[in-house]
Amino acid sequence: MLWAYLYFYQITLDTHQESGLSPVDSAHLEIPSSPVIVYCEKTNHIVQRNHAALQQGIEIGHGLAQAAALCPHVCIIPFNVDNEHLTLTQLAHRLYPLASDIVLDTHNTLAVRLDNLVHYYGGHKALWSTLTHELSQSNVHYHFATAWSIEAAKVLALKGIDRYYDNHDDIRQSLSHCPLSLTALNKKTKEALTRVGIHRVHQLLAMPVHELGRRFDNNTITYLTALRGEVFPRVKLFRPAEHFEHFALLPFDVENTQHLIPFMEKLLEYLAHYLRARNLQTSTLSFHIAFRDQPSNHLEIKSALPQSTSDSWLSLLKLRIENLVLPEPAVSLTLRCDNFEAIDDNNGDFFSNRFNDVAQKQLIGRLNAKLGEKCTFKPSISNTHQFEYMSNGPRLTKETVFSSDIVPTFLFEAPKPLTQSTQVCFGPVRLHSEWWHDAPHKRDYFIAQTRQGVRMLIFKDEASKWWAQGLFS
Amino acid sequence: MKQASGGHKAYLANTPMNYSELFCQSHYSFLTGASSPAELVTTASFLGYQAIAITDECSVAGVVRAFDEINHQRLSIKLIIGSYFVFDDSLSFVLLCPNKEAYSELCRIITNARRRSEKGEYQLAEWDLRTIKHCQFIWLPSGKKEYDDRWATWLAKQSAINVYIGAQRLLDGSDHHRFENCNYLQTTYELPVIACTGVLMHHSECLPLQHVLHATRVHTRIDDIGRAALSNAERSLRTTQKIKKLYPEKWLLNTNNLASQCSFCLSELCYQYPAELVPSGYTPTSYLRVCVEKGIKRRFPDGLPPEISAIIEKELVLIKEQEYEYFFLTIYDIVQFAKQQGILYQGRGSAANSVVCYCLEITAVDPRQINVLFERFISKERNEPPDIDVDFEHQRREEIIQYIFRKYGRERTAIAATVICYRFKSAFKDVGKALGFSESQLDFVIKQINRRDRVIPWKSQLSDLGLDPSNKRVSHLINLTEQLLGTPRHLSQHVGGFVISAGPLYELVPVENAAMPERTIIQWDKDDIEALGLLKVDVLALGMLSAIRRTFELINKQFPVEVNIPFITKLGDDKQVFDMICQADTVGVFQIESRAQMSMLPRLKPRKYYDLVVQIAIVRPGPIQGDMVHPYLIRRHGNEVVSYPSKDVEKVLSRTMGVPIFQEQVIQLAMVAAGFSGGEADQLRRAMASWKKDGRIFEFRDKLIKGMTDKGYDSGFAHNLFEQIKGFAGYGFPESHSASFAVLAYVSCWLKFYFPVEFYTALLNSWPMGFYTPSQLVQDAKRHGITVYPPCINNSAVEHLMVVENGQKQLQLGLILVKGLSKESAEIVVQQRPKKGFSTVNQVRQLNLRSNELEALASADAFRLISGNRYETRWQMMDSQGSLPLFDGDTCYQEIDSVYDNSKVEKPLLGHAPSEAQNLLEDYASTGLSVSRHPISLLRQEKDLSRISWANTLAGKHNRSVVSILGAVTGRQAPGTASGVTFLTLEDDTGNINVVVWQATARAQQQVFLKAKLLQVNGIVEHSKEGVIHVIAGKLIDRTAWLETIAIPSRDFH
Repeated sequence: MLWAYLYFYQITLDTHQESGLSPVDSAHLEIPSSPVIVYCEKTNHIVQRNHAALQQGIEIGHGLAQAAALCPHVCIIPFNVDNEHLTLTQLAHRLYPLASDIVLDTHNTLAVRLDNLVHYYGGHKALWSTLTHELSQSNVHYHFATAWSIEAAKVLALKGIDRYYDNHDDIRQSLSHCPLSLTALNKKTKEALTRVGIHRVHQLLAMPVHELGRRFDNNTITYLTALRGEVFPRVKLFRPAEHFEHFALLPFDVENTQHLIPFMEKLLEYLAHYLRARNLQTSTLSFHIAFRDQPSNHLEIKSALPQSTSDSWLSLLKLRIENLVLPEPAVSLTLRCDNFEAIDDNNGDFFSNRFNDVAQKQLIGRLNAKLGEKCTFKPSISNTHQFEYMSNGPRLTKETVFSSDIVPTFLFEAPKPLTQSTQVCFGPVRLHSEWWHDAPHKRDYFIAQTRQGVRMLIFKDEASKWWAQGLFS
Repeated sequence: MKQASGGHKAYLANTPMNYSELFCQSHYSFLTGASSPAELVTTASFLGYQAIAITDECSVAGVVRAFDEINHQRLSIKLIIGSYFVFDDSLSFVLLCPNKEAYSELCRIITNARRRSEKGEYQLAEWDLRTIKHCQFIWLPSGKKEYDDRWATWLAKQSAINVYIGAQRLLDGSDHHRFENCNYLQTTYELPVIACTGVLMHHSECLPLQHVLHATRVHTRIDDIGRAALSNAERSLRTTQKIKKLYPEKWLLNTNNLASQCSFCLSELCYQYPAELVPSGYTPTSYLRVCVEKGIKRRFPDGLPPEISAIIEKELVLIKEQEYEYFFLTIYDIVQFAKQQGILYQGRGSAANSVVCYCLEITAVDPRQINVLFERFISKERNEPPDIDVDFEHQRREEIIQYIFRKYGRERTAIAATVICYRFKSAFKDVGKALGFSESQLDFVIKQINRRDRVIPWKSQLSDLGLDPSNKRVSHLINLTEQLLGTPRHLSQHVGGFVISAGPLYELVPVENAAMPERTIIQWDKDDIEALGLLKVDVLALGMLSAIRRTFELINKQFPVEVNIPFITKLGDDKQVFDMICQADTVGVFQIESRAQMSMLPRLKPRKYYDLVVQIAIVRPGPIQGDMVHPYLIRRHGNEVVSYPSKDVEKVLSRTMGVPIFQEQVIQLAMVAAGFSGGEADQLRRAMASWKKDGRIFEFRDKLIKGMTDKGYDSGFAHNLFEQIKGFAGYGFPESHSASFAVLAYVSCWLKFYFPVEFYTALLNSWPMGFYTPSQLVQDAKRHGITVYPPCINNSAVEHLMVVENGQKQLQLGLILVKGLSKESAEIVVQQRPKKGFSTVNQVRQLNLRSNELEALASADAFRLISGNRYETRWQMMDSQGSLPLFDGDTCYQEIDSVYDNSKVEKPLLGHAPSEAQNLLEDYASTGLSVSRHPISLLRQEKDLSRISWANTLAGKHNRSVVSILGAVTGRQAPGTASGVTFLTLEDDTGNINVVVWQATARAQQQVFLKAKLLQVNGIVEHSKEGVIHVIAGKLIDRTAWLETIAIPSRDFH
């Protein structure tokens, strides 16, 4: 057997820098080319860094404090294993049409079986150049190696051999010099071996198996036979998902929603490519916009008619984006789509009969997209004491006890000076303004009735002026 | 009907000024109340309230602060003690204490509720409610009819409970519902209604702070707290005129009547010492005298000098007047126990340095040697309890704690609390989170803000960090952070302050669970205890005491005359010991071993005991920030004439050359120069201790400066003194503490000089303690010519040993040093060792140790006398066949050997041995140190390092000559007091080198400066005239690559 092992050692960084934008777009958005690091909060280690960061002295394994001390203005991307896995899956999708036996090993490594493909491609060289050409489209950095088993190829790839071996002597030679630390032996076993002076793979492979068997468990022995390529691998092969999901790490924190469009457009192009290859179309897609601290924003876009091209989606998306307010700068985007319809001539006839329904949906869809959901809300009440924010604050949840009796049926957009004589029938209720919104003020609210019997919510401000806030039905 | 007494007319006569707030939570209701108890009582008094009840939730933690404030400010307001409880969603209520019995009842209920739950929480049981007999019960109806009817019926059945309905008018739109409900309950169940607010803040301006606390409590942001938050500031102290408008007269009348029934005052709490300490037939006074006289014979065997005798009499009279006999006897009892058990201890604190304490053997400081007068600190006027802390050996303090628990019982003993308050970082973070700033941004800002920057205050630094102070949200962040500083966050356990009482402690103060299992804490901290005149005994732990006691044990085995602390102090100041101290050869000794202390020793040149007292106190952030060090040094070396602005000041400062060095001197100066009364000086002392928390020290600024200028002192002198006081705050060292520490410092130096092997052995056996790692201590021992042997299966004991070979004392490291070997297994190895020692590896295998422990022994090369190299031995130990049943059972070693003799059985061979570098690595990996080689010495073999100067050759270099040095970076310190300078410690195989790196040098070569583990420095050597050698760094070269994988720990400043 011959397996290639690919180790994408800076996959987050590559996704970050591979914005998929044209140079013109990049210049327009002023994407920085400054030092960038990927930081794992859990271990407090820098796990990836670009060349500019290296020049500043930042190395893999440094803590954040040390990195910040070396380069105070370094750009930090948080390490997220799920995102890496998502990107790796995208790469596997790319390779899948070229090679069927793909194994996703960790969040940033995969293995491809080669021996069963060689004769289709007419030789090792042609096969490898086809695969690498496909990978080069993704602009990712990787180390690779080939060997008789996934385990052996992995050790070589992790060492950064970057060689295509197709004969056993070369593999054996290269493998023997690898340090033990690169093997997939567990930490305890590695330590035990190091403590008796076994530091290199060749020392380990030279040990008689029965001697090792007296000292280590079966897993270790199984691994060693795999390292020697003596067993047939039992692995789970990659199968492409039935839905479309594409992830993009933004190259900088995007505050302006208009700046999101080029990245979204790129994702739509991937989707269009996916749909075209499968002769599908869709009427719903969803973007997940992720932030550093806030929970991610879910943006669902519906089209009255199923669409398959990126342009048709883009027009709706642009309308929607106009009104989108980001709670904080966005850091990544994911486009997901899992409802597909096959493109079929009959569909056209079916839809033409339902024009009115479609038109109505299309209108609401467009209104929603254009004006934002705020404008199409049903009347409801917010979780706030202050009347000014009652219609547009966060929704009142069921758990919140709504104790006050003074909320009127109709609220004026802004308080109006009270111009008619009224008689107070309930109050006072004192409200201090939400100091984080306004200059602090306090008001005493009353329910009052006019001579005509109109019941109003009125208040007296600190200057003893009277105002009307709303009307009761 | 339970009708409140009093008539309508009486009420009218007293209105509008009479109102008592009976439901009021301070910030000791953590994350709920927004004002301190002091603010609440002061404001309530200002508003003319008749009384105020501090009713924190299931707590009385804040009442002492309120009581103290009322006493200090002489406020004319009555303090009522109470507590607020939430039983469940359907019932909440307030208990008030009308009398002492009710107070004990309240403490018991709180204790029970708290002891049932995890730290910081509480859980009431219905049983608790049934036991209420003395407390007044203010029921706060839920507003839900089914609940309220159920509880009203239940309460009506409890004939012993005096129930009142608490009506709150909060102008929140629901008042009419509450009032209707109260009227309904009053009519239906014949319960009187009282008016209350449920105060959470002393002033309406605290509303934003209360909102922030609320948001923090429910883990949300201000924007999202919504209708669960207060809608207005009505839950503050309101004017009596307003109260009068808000509530029916009758309810107000009921309120005042209830308040007038509550006459309990905290001053009634009569703390009683455990009486069992005094044998029958004695009074406390007479028994104390007997104990002191016993001690006199031991301490003054040659007869008591008349002046000392007079002091003792004076002290005993003072103790009797203040009724402190039990306190001294309690500590005497504890230290006697320690003495019997052979646990070394040392008392410190102002009262500890009295002659009485010297005679009671609480302290070893001969009072003739220092100028700390006892009466100055037990002042009648200040009514301040005496201060005695006792340090015990850190490895045996638990024995003392268990003794106290055993002797007095858990019901009568608990540890004082420590109130954990918001500090800058926590306050900034919580406010920031509540205001919606992202956590990553807050973390970044906190890390970047330099709070030590004396030029740019932190608020101004914010704009450089991306937070514009003119932005409204940022200005809220600044203001609210300032407000939140010093607010209590939770209660924690004091390091060792015990409160012991005659009866159950829970009748005196509530007791709750601490985070540590089997430990309970009271709800008051040391200031509260002090304010109420309760006495606490500080049982603290000190590593050096363990080391000293162990050294004495080793010495006393060799000589007929017992060496102990009094023996050494009686010998007087030893010239040779002080010579050693002046050379800063103080690695491992007490207090004067840190880098800062060591660099000061050759400059201060201590030659006698009192110099050490000064040395210990002077190298502290307090005196350094107060700029006191330099003037003292100049005057000490006679380069400046000492002058005093007055005779009074001279009296205070003469013993420290006119420079205030001790905390006591600052207090005394305030008294003699600024005319502070004893009470004021006491307040100043407390403010100094807590100024970082509450900034109260600034209240004294004007008074101090005015007082001094009025008395004719120069205003510059006055301002300078205030700056010094600020510098002292929190960091200053009292002379009495320094005096006790100096004894231990001197004793440890004496032991290091005369009995170095015993000293290092004991020091290593007492580790973890002190400033240095075992590796550094062993290196130092070797530099003193001591031979150190590594752990050995046949020669080592569990602990480190002193061994004598050819008349030479040597240090044999113990098996305990082997990483991964448990103490129990080490004991098995030693106990089962044949007389002649183990002769084969397999004998050790039969001890049934776990295989990883055997492997750890092999890697530590403990088998080197009986086996091959450590790799081979470990490989053998890993062989699972070696532990097959054949070798189990009681077969004697001889039989085993015959069956499994190395010569007869095919031995698995690895075929390789460790190199010297690998041996060194293994030494570090398995024991954390190497006695054979230093990494640098290995490098010397490998590389041409002839141009490098080593630590032991620097003294021979010309002053200000250029040198190249090389060493492992073992310390990086950037003290806040050293304005940008970083001190590096480089260790080579001949010693340590101090390197000074200026900020500009560090910045220019930042990568090397921050990253290098093995560093070459090309710089200039500087010899100060006092003999201190520094290298001022120029070029820094990272040589870490030379070490490859050798890891040497470096204390970074990150």
